[in-house]
Amino acid sequence: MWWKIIIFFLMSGVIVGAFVFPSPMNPQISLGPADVYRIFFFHVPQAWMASLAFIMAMVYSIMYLRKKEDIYDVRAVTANKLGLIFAILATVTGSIFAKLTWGEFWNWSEIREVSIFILLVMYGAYFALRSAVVDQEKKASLAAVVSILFAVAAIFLIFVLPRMYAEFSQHPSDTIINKEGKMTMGPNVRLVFFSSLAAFTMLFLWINSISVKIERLARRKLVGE
Amino acid sequence: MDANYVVMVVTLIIWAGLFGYLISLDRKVKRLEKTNEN
Repeated sequence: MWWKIIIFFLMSGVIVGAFVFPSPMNPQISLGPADVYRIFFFHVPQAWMASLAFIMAMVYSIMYLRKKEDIYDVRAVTANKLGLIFAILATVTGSIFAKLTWGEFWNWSEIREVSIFILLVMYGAYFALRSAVVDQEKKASLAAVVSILFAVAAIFLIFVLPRMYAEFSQHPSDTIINKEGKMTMGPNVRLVFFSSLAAFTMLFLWINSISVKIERLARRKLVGE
Repeated sequence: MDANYVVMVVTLIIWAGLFGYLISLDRKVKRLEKTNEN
């Protein structure tokens, strides 16, 4: 129970810090109102959580293919579900930021927005595939292979592609680490940002453990029937 | 009152609600697991 109390106070502290400390905006290179940049404390950890979830799903999928134990399929599908939810949250917060700084909710020439759109379609297809196959073992094996391929594609879409085509990105650059590999954040921004990363990671692990239990109970019930 | 503080209070209320929901869901799932074991 103690770690749940830590999550509560850590996330509450992040919310207070995000609104009380000065905005993380760099006025020399940034557009729009300074307060909009406070979304950084929530948008970036959400995108990180989505990446973590997809990588976790890939690891569980590999373990499923090796051991053929149902628990790994349960863990993989749960991680992918949470990854999709966090990716949607990151897209929504990103769109709000885009509207208030660049003037429109969506821009098809912005490489990160196109990447996240492809990612959402891919993981939508993953769940469509799962619901299309009836046989549980076949479903789990197929989904595991797709999950591994999609996680590799997700890493490429999130971390590689936007850096390869940086000229198509309007995203604020050098927000965390600059080209020389040095931290660009001030002490207050750093404190709130890394606390937010920790709070979101702990929250993700908690929700993940509840979701795994629910999925296992649902499968036991289905088998029982 | 500063708009930032209003947003902060609303966000804290939403967070407290979400946290409460997760706690109750966690308890329900644990109860269901125990019933299932018996």
